[in-house]
Amino acid sequence: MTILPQLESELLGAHARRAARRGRLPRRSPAPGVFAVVLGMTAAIAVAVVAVVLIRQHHGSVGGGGGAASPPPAAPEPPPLPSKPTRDQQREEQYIFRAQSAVSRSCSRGQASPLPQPTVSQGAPSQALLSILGVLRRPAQPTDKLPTRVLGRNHQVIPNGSLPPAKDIYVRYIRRARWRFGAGYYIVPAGDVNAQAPPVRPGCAAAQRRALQRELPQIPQRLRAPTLALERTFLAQTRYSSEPHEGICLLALNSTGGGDVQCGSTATDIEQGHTTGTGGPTGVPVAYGVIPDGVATVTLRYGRNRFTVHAIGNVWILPLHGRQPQYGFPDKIVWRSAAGTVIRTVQGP
Amino acid sequence: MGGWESESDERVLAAAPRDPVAFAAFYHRYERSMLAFFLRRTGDAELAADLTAEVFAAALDACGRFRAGEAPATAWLFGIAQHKLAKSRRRGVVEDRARRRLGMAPLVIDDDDLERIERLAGEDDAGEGLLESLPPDQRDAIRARILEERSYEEIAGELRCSQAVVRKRVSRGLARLRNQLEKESR
Repeated sequence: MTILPQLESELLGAHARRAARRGRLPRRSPAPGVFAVVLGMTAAIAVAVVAVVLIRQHHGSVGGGGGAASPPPAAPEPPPLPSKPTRDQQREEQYIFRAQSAVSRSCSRGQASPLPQPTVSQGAPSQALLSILGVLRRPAQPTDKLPTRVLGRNHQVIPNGSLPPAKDIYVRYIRRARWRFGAGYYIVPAGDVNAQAPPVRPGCAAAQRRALQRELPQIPQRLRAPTLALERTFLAQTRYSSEPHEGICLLALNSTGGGDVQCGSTATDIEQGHTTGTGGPTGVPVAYGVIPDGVATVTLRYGRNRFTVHAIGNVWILPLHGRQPQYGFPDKIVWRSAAGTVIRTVQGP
Repeated sequence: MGGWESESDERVLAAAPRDPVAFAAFYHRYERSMLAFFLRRTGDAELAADLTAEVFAAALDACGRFRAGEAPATAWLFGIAQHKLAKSRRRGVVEDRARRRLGMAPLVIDDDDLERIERLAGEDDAGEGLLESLPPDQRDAIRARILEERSYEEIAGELRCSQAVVRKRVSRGLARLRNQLEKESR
């Protein structure tokens, strides 16, 4: 039995074409940025959009919901922060950071919140998600069912324990996109994949703005206006990242339902390639990510080394075993179509 | 497979440019061992599949130039494999020149394909040690002459020896490979 029947078929097709070109018929027809640091340091204010949570620590169960909820209206995403800031922008960021530091204590107090309980919905994802993820459009199969969460030596079964910490999970649209190294890679769409993000404290943004105003006399004249503009973007991003967003969670689960959960990718994040994660639910370390339809291969660049993997079911997986420990989040990701055309180049994870 | 099962590799490969069934038979014979060969060296099933596809495409493209008696067909095929592997390591990508030249569609694989390839990890590697078992001078000469199809003059210039010496190395290396393969088939 052939392992790669498509290859055999392609080779025979190529053979036939060559023969035809030479005027001979074959005897048989062929078969077949810096701001990331700022965001991190002021985590209480700036909430990370993507959170990787070990489901082992998550004993959540299904909460309410259940109604055919429609996705919340998508708020327009504010302009992105500069990924490669110029020297001036770096200085502007420092002024903003200094102002934020002055108010971060009051802003952060009492913001820690427990993981939200997942809720389910019988509704459907928006067209924005369905139109870019073919795997969500295919009919459901028995293998799409999330594995039962089993805990500890006494095999305690947690009902719906594999569900990610998201609200309005579109249960009819959960799909197992891949099965690699004994783990299932599930795409779980939900009305709010940002549910674990704590809300921004009321008055926090105003306090930050006032703090920056106080800093203004120390900022060179020519940088004042751009610093204020950058702060507006920053505050808009902060607010946006704490609001509910429709999107997906990517779950990499082993047979006990334990593994990695990466929640928070919106349709825009997917289209821009900001879905890279690392993990290894069965002990095989991998890097993985979600890509939209039309991407055939993904090339990951680590320094001078490049690895190309196939996109299958809207998910790419790069095994990291045997590779250098620094491999995980690549320096650069290149998406290519089936014809080899570069579709998108993503810098950083 | 069109009666090619009992024929020698050399006969199958000699017929392959004209007969697709002969080429399919050759592909069936070496698909598993080629995948295993690449899997063992890269540890990556996807990479192994891509490299295998490129090797067989290059083999199809070049089988008309294969001369029975000059080198065993396996040495020829795994020579191409060594060359493609070395090139992919050097460049960091698996080239698809041969596949493009033949107008082949990109390889579409799924997780079942990858699992089947990973199961080959324990299988014998037919290409293992074939070229590596040769003394370095013979191995380099065979690579340059048989695999890279360079002229004796060019190789002699690069190796700083006479053309006669290169010819002798190629001939001795091939004879050694042939003996090795005959012993293995007994």
